[in-house]
Amino acid sequence: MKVMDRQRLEENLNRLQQDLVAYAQTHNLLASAECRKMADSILLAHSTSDLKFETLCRTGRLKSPAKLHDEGYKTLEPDAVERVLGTSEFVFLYAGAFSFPSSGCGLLFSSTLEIAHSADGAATPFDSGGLVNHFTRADMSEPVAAFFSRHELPLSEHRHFLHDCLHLLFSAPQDYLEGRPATHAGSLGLSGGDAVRRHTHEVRIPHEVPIRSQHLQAVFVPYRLTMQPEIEKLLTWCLAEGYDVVSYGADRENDFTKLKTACIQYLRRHLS
Amino acid sequence: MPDPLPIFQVKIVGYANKLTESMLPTVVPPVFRSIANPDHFFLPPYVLKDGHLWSDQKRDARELRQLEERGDVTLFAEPPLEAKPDYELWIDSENQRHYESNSDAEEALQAIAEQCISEAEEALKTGDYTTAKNATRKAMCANDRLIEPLAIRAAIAQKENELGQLNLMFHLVGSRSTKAGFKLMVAGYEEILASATTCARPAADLFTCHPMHNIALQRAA
Repeated sequence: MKVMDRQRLEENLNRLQQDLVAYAQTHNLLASAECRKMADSILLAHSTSDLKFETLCRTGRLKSPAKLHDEGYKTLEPDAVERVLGTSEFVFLYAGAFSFPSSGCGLLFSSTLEIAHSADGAATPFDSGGLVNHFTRADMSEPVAAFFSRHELPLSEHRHFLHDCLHLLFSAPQDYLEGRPATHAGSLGLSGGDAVRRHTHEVRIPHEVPIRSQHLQAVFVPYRLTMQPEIEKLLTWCLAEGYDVVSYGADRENDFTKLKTACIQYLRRHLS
Repeated sequence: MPDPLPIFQVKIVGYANKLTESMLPTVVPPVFRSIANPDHFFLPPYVLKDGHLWSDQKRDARELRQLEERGDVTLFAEPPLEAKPDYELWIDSENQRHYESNSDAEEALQAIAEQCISEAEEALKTGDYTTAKNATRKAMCANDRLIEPLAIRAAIAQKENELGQLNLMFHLVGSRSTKAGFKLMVAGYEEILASATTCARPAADLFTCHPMHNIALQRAA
């Protein structure tokens, strides 16, 4: 597994914060309203498709691509993003609303999950899949893995940079939460691809994340799946233990849109 | 959002989901392929309106293959379907695809859902909870707006003293019915279950059968 070099991650954080301040000065950016509380409270999201969600409910845990590969659930091709970046042994979550479009179900976790993994987890201020497949870097001659390495942040402190971004790059911090693009490009030098994914903080937790834990916040599932035995068991457990269950009708073109809308409404209530 | 594509300029090569048999029948979101650029595939979320497709989720064949390997899309083994305006793609319980006008698809799925609810009700009369549960699950897949499946499941949960499941059914019905209205519906199914346990189930012996058990709790006719 990729070793989390704490010093490298902290140096990255300091450099990125300095770059962002310099960018803000150059572009005469004014800080928006206070958003420290919001940056600290944003939940961690993981969304997936129906079949995989059913599997998650059965196994009771989110697993890294490497584990899924070993267990025969997933093929990890040599050119897979996780292999290219050395992240195949991590579970991926986003700090914010669900943003993976090929999904209709999701889980939200509390930021306490980051505290529990402050020593062995990491974050990046962008979606790593987008970095490899869609974004354009200012210097494309630099290997993508090197760019990635320069932008990995310590899990315990990545929200400081998230706060700075919300503060300076978005016209209102709620825009980040609600999936609206930043007003300013920022200092990372990324362009192209999905503008939202360019600014979404990705959080990586090693190996696996148990679902039935104190870090769980809410489960999102369309009505039509609520009677699937394994899913029903999880939902029943959630209600018994005081975790939130959010259900919604789905339709053909908007499974993901419904999920995202339900999530944003939930996050608004959570932050108010 | 990019410029819209006329729907007749795309074909349907699969759907953006992967489902088990127990998740069928259900409506699925098509994966479209451009006829002019066969390496361009369009996945949800998109907007289908006025005979046009708006999508910013364009993928190439390599990305589509990755999504299929990851279990996010299912590609047809059969030939692609001609895309048509106001049509719906759905997959039946035998994993067969159907592509029909919105109204025909809705009617077909509603008929399946109603048939499943009838099957569940019949199963309740004989105390066959397994069949009733399977039928309600199928009804829910076919039409997730119905609340009868939830009421049947709530009645079974009550009977089995599964208070967690009962709580879930009341939670899921949410604002789709008043609490009082839903309770009435559940009570109706409980009556069917009560008559099943006193009449339809064979008694083990005279000493363990209590035909008057719970009679006082039942509604007056």
